[in-house]
Amino acid sequence: MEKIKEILLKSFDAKLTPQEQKLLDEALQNSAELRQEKRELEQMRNLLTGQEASFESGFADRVMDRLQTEKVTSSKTIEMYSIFKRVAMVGIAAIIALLITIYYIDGSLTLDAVLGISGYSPDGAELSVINLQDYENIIQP
Amino acid sequence: MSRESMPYSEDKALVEAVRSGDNTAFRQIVLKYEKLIAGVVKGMIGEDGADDVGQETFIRFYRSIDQYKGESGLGTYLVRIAVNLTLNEIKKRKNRQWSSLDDSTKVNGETTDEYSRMESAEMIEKAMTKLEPEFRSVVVLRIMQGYSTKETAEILQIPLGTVLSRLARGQEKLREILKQLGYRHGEG
Repeated sequence: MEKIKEILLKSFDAKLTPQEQKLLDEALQNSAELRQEKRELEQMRNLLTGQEASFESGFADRVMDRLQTEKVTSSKTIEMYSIFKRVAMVGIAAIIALLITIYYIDGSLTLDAVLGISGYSPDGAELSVINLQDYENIIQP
Repeated sequence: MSRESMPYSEDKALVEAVRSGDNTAFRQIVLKYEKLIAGVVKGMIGEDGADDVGQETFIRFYRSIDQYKGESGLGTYLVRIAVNLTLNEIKKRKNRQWSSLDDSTKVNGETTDEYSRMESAEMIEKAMTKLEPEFRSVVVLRIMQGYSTKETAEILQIPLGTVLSRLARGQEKLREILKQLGYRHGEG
């Protein structure tokens, strides 16, 4: 009986094999209980199919209001924002890495060190000017 | 049935318009599919809270509109979002639902007559909320919304065989629940 019930339920939603169809037809012919069950199932399905549903009027307005109040952004905007965020993060990481390297090389993070001129001094610059003058004296006796 | 009556290309055009920032097109989508979504959500959770779930369905769609590739119809895609959101809502309500199930034991007692006077729509709503969510979703999509078993399987992302077995068990259970609620077959 369970097997027949299974076939009966299946018959509403799937095509039965010829063998299943034959079994069901025979069982329906011989069993008043099964016929009653089939009727009940049909009634129930009709009851379910006939259900009309709708939201209260103004549903679309409520959705549009939510869109405005929550300032919902589409995935494209979110995507652009996340790309910008990623680029910014990479930039920040590169700057931090650069500062660490400078500190490691120069032992400080002064403006000179950052600009790469901490090794030069004004005295050194004067010296190089004097050396240049000596050179000019040599070539112009 | 109220499914995807407009041509598919029209939906595509609406989606494209929404993508380029046209909110009027989004409103058109809401107007077109609100009945379908109402049928699914209300079929699964009844009136209570259905409006919020319905709104959330469209808002989620708007947020993730670029993920919609058009592989399935727009209605089917929206129904998938609605089913998932409704299943989440059912999970949230689980405790409340259990307490309401306790109330249902009364139907075998003196309150049966009261239930038998219920309008069929109310009775269906009540019966559906007592059905386990996995059965509820297949019954709503296949029987109430008229999707084919194949479409139901696609929407719920489960095998066809599972849809058929859930349908069979779901109908049996629903018939029992309706009997408990006082529904007399042949009168309804």
